[in-house]
Amino acid sequence: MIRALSNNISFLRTTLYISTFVILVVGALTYRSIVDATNSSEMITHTYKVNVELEQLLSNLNDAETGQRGYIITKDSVFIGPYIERRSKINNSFAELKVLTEDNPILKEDLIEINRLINERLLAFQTSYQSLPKGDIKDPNFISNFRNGKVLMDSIKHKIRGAIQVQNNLLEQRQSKYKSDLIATPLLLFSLLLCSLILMYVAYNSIYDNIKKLKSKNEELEIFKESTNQSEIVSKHGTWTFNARKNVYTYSDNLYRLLGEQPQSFEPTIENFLKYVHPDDVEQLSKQVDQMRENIELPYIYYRVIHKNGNIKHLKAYGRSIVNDDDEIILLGTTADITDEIMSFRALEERNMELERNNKELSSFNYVASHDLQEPLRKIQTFLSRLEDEEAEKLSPKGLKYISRIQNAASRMRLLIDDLLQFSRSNKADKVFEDANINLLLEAAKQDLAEVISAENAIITSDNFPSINVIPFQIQQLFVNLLGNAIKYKAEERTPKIEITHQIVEAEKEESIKKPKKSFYHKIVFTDNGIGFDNEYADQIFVLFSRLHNKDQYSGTGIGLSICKKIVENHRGYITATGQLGVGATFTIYLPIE
Amino acid sequence: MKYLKNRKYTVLFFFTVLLIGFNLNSCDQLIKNKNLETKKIENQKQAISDNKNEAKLLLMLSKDNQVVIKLSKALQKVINKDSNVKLAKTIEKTHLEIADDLYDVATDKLISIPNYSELAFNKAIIDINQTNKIAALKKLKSKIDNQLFLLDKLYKVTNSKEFKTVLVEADSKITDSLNKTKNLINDLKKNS
Amino acid sequence: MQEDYINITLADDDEDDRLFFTDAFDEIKITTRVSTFNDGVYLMDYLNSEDALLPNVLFLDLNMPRKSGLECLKEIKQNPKFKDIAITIYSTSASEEDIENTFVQGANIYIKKPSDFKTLKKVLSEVVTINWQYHTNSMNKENFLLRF
Repeated sequence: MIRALSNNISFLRTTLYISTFVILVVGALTYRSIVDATNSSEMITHTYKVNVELEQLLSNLNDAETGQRGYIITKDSVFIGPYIERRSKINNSFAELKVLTEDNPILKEDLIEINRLINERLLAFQTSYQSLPKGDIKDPNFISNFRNGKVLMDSIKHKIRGAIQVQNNLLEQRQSKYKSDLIATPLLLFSLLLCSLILMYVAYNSIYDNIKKLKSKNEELEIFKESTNQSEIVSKHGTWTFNARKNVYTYSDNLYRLLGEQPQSFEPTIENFLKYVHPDDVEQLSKQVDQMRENIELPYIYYRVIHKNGNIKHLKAYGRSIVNDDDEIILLGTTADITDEIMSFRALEERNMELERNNKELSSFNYVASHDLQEPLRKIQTFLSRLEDEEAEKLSPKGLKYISRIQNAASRMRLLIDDLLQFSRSNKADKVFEDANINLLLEAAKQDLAEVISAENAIITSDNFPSINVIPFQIQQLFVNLLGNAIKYKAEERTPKIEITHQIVEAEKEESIKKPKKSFYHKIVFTDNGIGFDNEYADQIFVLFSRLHNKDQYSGTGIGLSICKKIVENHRGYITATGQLGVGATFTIYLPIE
Repeated sequence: MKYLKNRKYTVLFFFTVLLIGFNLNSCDQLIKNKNLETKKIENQKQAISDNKNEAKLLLMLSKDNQVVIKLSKALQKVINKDSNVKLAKTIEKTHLEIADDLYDVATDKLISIPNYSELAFNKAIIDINQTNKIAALKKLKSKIDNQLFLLDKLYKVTNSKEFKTVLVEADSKITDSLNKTKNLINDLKKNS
Repeated sequence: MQEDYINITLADDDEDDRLFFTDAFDEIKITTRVSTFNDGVYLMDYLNSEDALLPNVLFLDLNMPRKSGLECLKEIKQNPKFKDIAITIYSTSASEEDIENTFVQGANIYIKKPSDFKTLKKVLSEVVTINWQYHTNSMNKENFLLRF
């Protein structure tokens, strides 16, 4: 659009120049033709003046001749008067002609000749006047003189007429030349003016079109500017420009609001801006601004500003350069208020740290408590056993019973503490994943339960496991708990049989996995033939301290399965249980494959 | 942008200067022309009137000359003394010369003057006898005087150098004949 | 300089544990001479003294004031004078960390303090009768933690 406009501008300029030139040319030509017209009319006047004088000569001579005739007829000297008068009149005519024909040599020569002839004629007049009083009309001398006079007269007339004709011819020539000029020029001038007018009209049209286009573009720009202002307000950012050559800034309205001021409330200079910057950031920002001035670019910078009312805001600024029409480099910059983000980030960080601290405290509390609780408990148990061994004979049966009860309670406490310890260990923050041989872990778990397994003659079959990325001691613990449970809750009438299977499954196809995070999982299933449980409690059994039996039926703390759940969750997996009363229980573990 | 602006203003400036200069010049020219024209016309008019005056004066001069010639011719017949007759003859000759000179000049100037006397003669001039010869001589003298007076006037009116030379010559000749006439008058006065 | 009794030393800050220990050895039918120290400093001071009678088996508790069992272990292992001492870690805790650390530092065996006297006697007699030559030469994590 701008291209078209500038094209039009040069077109307009050309039009202007052409029109000016045409008008000047027209003016000059008009001037010349007026001058020519004047000259031509002067020439006419001149010619006619000359012709008039020449005719005067002729008429004077005619008058003199008439006077002569009168005298000849009447011999009255009154007729001689005109002859004398005529001479001076003739002289006057010649006086005029001399001046009028100064620049006409041909005519000058003619005049000399005419004068000579006139003199001869006048002489002839005189001769006739002189001879007549004495002689007779019929005198041959007189007649010859008279005839001579007529001849002279004729030749004079002829000469004069000739001169007049020559003048007229000359005049005609010049007139015709002027006429042709006069005809051609107005037409040419008129056509040139017409062209000029058309050009100007075309130019006007193009100007009008351009103005209309500009207007509509301007309106669009206005709307766009308004919407930009709105968007700036909503998204809490301001824009600014920096003209490198002129060292001048402009600030958008919202940039002022970012500083807590009214729009355009102070002059957009860098000094005024720095007044609002946090004292700690001023130095760095000044350096960055200096760099910006040098490189005409601004990478992301961060700084704080303080509003007049004391609020501190965090700002982020960025600038990129463009080149405008006048070949000046302008830096276009955006500054955004990121205070909210930073605040929420900080808040989040704080909460996180608090939570972590709490966690750590709880963890260590858990651990230490469990650990330190063991000491006295152990003492109790050991002393009890010593007592039993050493002093059994000295105690009454009641005493022995009491000791036995104390031992039971102590063992229960021990179990609880052990499980709590386990639970707290599974909570530890520093969990190290490594590719572990699951088969070995299973074997170690079996070793841990070696006594019970051999006591109950439990049969444990397992698939071959691949190596999985796990926290080894936790997986081992998991296996221990599950196997331990399977054996503990054995059915009276049959030998406990535990089957452990492994598969790799697709998350989508497994119903029990809700909102899986990965696509594929290891599926490890522990199936036993123990007493099972009512499926109604499938979810409840994983809840901390929750049991399906009381402590007299089966010992237990209600922590074991919670620990299993925790361990599986640590591995970002899932654990589910299904059971059939009297048939057995199935525990399914899903471990994700990364 | 700066350069373009400058150029625009420079061009505009020069253009304006040129236009003003042109205007002034042409106006000046027009005025000068007009003045020239007026002067030319005035000069022309002046020249014409000068020519007319010249012709008139020359005519009068020649007329007087003719009278002088005629008178001197007539006086020759009535004068007795030979020396006086010789004087009169000389006067006549001188004035005939002058007449020729005048005639030549007139022809050059396209002025028509009569070669010899006009027809409207004063009878008084022809009828000179013993009784009125002194009166006639006096008349002669006055005529010659008049000629000098006319010569003077002509000298002032004319522009032609050659004419002026002729006039100066004529003046000396005429002054000479004037003296001769004066002598004649004195002589005749003495004798009668 | 081996006499016909086994020289046993215990470092433990707990009085009761020391009592159990000595009582247990009293009842074990192995000829032993038992000495106890109250903490790591006393132990190391004794061991480093000129006329120390070095034990055959040293039982180290981990949680002791002033100098912990782990520190003593490090010191002992650094000193070639004590290379013949079989070191047993005798602790309440059986955490992975402790087991790992003591194993790495060169302890021979790890015992979690039992809560039953009979078990205690059994364990102690097992430990002192181990043929330490075989044991020390094969540093094996599986056998490190004594299971009972």
